[in-house]
Amino acid sequence: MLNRINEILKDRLGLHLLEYEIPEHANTVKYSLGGMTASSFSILVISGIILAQFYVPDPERANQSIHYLSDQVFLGWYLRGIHFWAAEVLTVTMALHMIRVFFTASYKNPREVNWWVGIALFFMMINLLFTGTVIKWDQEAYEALAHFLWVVKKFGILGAPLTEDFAQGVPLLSRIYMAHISLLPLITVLILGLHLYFVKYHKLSPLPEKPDGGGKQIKFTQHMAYLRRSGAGVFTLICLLALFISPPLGEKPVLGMEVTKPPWQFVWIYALENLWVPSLIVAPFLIGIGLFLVPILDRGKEIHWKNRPVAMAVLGFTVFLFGALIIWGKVTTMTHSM
Amino acid sequence: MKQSRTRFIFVVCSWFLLGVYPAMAHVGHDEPAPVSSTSDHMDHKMEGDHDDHSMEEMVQPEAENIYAIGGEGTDDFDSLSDPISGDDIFASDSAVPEIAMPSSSPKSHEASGASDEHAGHKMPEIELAEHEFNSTSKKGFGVAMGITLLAGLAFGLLVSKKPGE
Repeated sequence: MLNRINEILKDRLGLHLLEYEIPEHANTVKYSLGGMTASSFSILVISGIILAQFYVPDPERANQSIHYLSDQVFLGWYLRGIHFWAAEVLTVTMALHMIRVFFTASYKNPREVNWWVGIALFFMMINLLFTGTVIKWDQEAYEALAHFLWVVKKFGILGAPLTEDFAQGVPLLSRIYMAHISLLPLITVLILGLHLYFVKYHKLSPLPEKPDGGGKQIKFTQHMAYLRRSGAGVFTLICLLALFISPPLGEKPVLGMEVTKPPWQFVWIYALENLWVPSLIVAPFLIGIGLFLVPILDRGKEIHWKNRPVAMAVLGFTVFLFGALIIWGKVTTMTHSM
Repeated sequence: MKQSRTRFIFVVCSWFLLGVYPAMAHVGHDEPAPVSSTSDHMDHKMEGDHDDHSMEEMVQPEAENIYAIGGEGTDDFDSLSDPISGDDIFASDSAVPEIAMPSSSPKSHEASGASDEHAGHKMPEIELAEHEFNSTSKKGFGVAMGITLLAGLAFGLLVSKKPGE
């Protein structure tokens, strides 16, 4: 019976086109981190659509609407928790995915463009994370936005569209909300589509131990089944976290105060800012340039990590540096002000 | 002919009187609630006891009519009738809801609890938001637990059976 249904669907939906062959190592955790990131993103979109029904994008009532959702709406706290923890899981899986791609030299010829598309996707996720932090409009959100405006104003006319003066009479919070729920997700989905297209076009990168390819092949539908399993695991983890641990939510901000630290994803820049305030601008710029230059600077044919000591040293140093800055940012006290 | 026309008119009038009119009779019998600033209410709350950690208590008075412009006493029908602020933000005379952003020049901010150079000026206390463990008394906790268990069961099934792999 099930087979018959399967056949009917295949004939009508063209599902047989998904039965092309891919390397067997696609069905490993290492090579499914991108898929897990996409699963988390899907959960974010679905939970975000429901959350948007309860949010009031007005500075006077934004924070209150989230408190109302969390305290009064049936399962509202759970829904918000799912959204928050999906973002946390996405950050982790995305970082691991980038590390894996670098480790296995999957950015090398002919996949350089897909690396750059991936970097664009990374920055879109950062933007979504930032705008999502701001729209809850508590003290942490306000200070995040204040830092952002400080940076943007340094760019003069280039940064003008992102300031409150660009559209006077329209609260900046409303514009950030618009970006978070429509503009940024739309661009992200388009870039994600391009990213997946290039993965399909260039095929999955080979294992470093077998640079010429070869090895056992499986059907792509089998990989989809694996992704379905890993996606279910990701969803279960997010539900568990949402069930037991609530995301932080403060009260309406006190304007002009600077007392909070950013979320852990941004606290490394807080630590740098403590040393030198302009690092707010310099650090992201340097990171972007560095990531862009990776496939240009490393054009050797070697893909095994043992034969790439410099690349491995750079990777190790970067991971260590970010980890240390995050820990330092979490424990240090503020020694400056905006 | 005349008799059937009369019957027709009688039927139409009966329908109008028995069906439509009772439905229309419920329109407009509630006055809209008076406008009050929810931000003032929240500010008043913030000046109170900050040791009380329960955000639920701070929100509760507003919970019934989160979308209403007015305060107490509005029913659900009226609270949803005007879900946006009554202020026309594009009108030149109305108060524009602006976010007062700090200027880019450095200010002498001090963290909560530090000493203040302006004698007698009370620094507002800001309670930093932290992660908390969810209480089982949260609305729908049982259902949430059920959803989580179902998700776990589905994952377990996929791990054990590996369908399609």
